[in-house]
Amino acid sequence: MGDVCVIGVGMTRFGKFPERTLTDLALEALLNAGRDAGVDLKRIQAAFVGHVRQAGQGAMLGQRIMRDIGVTGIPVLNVENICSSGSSAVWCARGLISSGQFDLVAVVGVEQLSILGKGVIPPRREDLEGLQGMTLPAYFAMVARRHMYEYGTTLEQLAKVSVKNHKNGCLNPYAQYRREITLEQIENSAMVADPLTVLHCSPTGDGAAAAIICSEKVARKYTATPVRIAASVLTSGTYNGNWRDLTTNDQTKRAAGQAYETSGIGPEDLDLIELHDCFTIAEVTHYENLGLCRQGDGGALIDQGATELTGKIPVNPSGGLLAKGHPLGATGVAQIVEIVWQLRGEAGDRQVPGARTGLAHCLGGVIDGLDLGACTVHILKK
Amino acid sequence: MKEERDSAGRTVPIREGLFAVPGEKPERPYLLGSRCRRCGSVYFPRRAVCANCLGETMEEIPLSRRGRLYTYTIVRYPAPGLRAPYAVGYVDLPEGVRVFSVLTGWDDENLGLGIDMELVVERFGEDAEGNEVQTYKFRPLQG
Repeated sequence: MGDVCVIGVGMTRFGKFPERTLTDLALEALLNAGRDAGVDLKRIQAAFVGHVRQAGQGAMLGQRIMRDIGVTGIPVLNVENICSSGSSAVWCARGLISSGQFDLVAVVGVEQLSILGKGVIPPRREDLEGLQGMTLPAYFAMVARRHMYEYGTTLEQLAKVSVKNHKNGCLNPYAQYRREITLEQIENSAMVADPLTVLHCSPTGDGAAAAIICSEKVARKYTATPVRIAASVLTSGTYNGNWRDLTTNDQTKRAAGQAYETSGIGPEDLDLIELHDCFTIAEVTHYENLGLCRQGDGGALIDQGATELTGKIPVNPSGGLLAKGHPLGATGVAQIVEIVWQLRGEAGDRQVPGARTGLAHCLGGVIDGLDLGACTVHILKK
Repeated sequence: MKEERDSAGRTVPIREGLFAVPGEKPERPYLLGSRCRRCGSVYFPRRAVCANCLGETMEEIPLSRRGRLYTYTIVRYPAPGLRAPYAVGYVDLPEGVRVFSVLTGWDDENLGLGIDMELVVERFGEDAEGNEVQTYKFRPLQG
């Protein structure tokens, strides 16, 4: 059984495009990916579409997208796993190709949050926490406060994550925000849930990303140098009787552990990482969860500059969710797009020199009593 | 359609089965937990099935009225339908449950990780029928 490969990627710019539609965003990304692969999209055997269906829109979105390019009759699956929707669609594609069911599959992730208006993503009212005022910024603010208390992490260390990712975003033509910000601006921006101000939070926005994924046999027809998926892992949260440790994320640790084990690639072998920096504190805790440093040392890692574009392990060269943007369903696929570009040496001004392996980490869904809802880790290699 | 005289002005819990308020004064409300008769695991909110051993015989137990503040935040940008600022946090109870709760009786000075908290039941808001909705909240222990 050969590897599963990514032979084409594409995305839209991320931003606020209330005048566009979900299908139009998705088509742009999919057509870009098809062109990039040199694949006739009529040959696609199945499609997996990640989308969170905010505001009740988007039912059967995958079928609508495929209808619009005349690729009909094939299996189409709409995948919802909150922020991990797009990366869960990648997981589906990879698993079904690897089991021999398909040779050539399209994955699309898309979201349009601008039509919801401003503000936080509405919490789920069936959750007691959501019912009583929990918001995502509130959750991560509580994580931050506890992490600061237990490990001496500082607010300035957290802010440095946002400075770094905005700096990287400036180098990414697809990023929602292409402006540098200072520690002072972060401190003085509006408080959302203390200690986190708005510049500690990823923005809401719109966008789409797509990938053409296939078996090694098919990949050889299109390219001599396909990017391989060395590991693809999906985990869900662990229920522990409402006694969750907010300073760590068990499911990220488990997903990363499995990915390292199955691929034989460890954290020390990675050339770059795209991780789920929905809030600055999330990036710091995931340094620890992904094994880049010991538990509690995430703040020191950002201080040392290790995760800068020029550091020993660049994290979120694309600008991450904080600067590139976070259209929920699109995010997980966009991480794959960035890593493929990096491994091919096509990442322009933000290119990590000589990158051969990259890891994508996605995590989503604050649910009562679970550490979090869904986590994916993918490792890609040349 | 409910008749108005049946509903207007009543107090209703935010959700049934979360807490109890015994009749005597001063009010000493408590949270209702479940304890598994097979393995002893304790849960809040109550559960029908034990997540630890899948036991299906759970007994309802009152949980301690006091706990320790594990972490908190003051929300300045509210969830839809709520008014900011409000404070929420997690409180650790001696039975081994970490409870998400709205916080009350706070100011900019008196919250801190590890401080002792106590349970009260207070107004949370109003429902569509004009009833006062009540929920459990924790406040810094006084005195």
